[in-house]
Amino acid sequence: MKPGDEILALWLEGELDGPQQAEVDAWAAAHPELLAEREAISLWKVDLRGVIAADQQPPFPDFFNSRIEQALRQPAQTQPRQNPASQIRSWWRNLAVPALAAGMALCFWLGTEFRPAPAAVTVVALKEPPAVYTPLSGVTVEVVSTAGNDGTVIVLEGLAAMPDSLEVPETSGIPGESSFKLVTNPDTVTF
Amino acid sequence: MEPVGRVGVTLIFGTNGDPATAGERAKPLAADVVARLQKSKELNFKNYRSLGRDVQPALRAHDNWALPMRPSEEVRVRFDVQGRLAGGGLRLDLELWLQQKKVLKTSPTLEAGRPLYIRGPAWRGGQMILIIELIK
Repeated sequence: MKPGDEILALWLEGELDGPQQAEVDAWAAAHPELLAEREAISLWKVDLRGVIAADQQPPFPDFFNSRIEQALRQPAQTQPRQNPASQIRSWWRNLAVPALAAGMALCFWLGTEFRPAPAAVTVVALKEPPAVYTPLSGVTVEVVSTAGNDGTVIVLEGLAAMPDSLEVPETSGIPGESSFKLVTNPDTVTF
Repeated sequence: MEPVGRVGVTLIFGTNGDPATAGERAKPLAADVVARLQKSKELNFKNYRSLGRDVQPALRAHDNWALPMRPSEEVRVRFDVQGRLAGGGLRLDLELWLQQKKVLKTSPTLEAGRPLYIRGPAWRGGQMILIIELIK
């Protein structure tokens, strides 16, 4: 016979014992999805215990301690006195929500501790071709290596021609520093 | 602010026709440069002329602009430093602007002796080519 929802919930959390446990176990044997769910909850509890050590205060301890105290006080005010075993089960249920919240807060805190790298950091040499993008429609971009593999060529096809009226300015190309060096002919440049 | 390097931008004109169409102010390139360019089919022309050059310090956290035809702003290269390579090269975020329009965005790695060539627009029957290099 199918157990009640409350009994089933306790069974899923592994909080039943004795004949009640055996009765639900027998019924659940024909329901593999419930067995899997119970196993998942059990693993989750193990993981949670691994994340929050018993002697470690969760982040924002005052907040969470007050939540735990509040959760522990409420049943005492609204429910009749329970036997010790039931109190332990109830304590675990009450602790589960704040513990879950503590886990989420811990993840949030770890996220705030992440800092982006400084603007210019030393990186390993990257040999892959550069990423390229053109916002112009009808223009294609191709990246190739030079014949001697001593440089990279980006070929833009489909650009509008520059107007023939564009003149080389008189002051064009007179920087203070350049890798271009005049060779034998002073009007000739090299690099 | 201390620059992390210098970037040179040279604008050249490649043509299979008469290079004099570039005008009197355009200077011829040295023979070894011509030979180097002619090795690559994408950059191979019979004649070349230099239209201008600019060298700018590469400053971190800055938009750096090079105008090889200064004071004309018809051809502009914007770059900012993304990182330094162990061997002294620079990883850049680089854009090419022609006639006030951004036509290319790329992320090249510049190392000394390994320039980046951009074969750009046609002009006066030839082709504009930008040579972007890391200056030691």
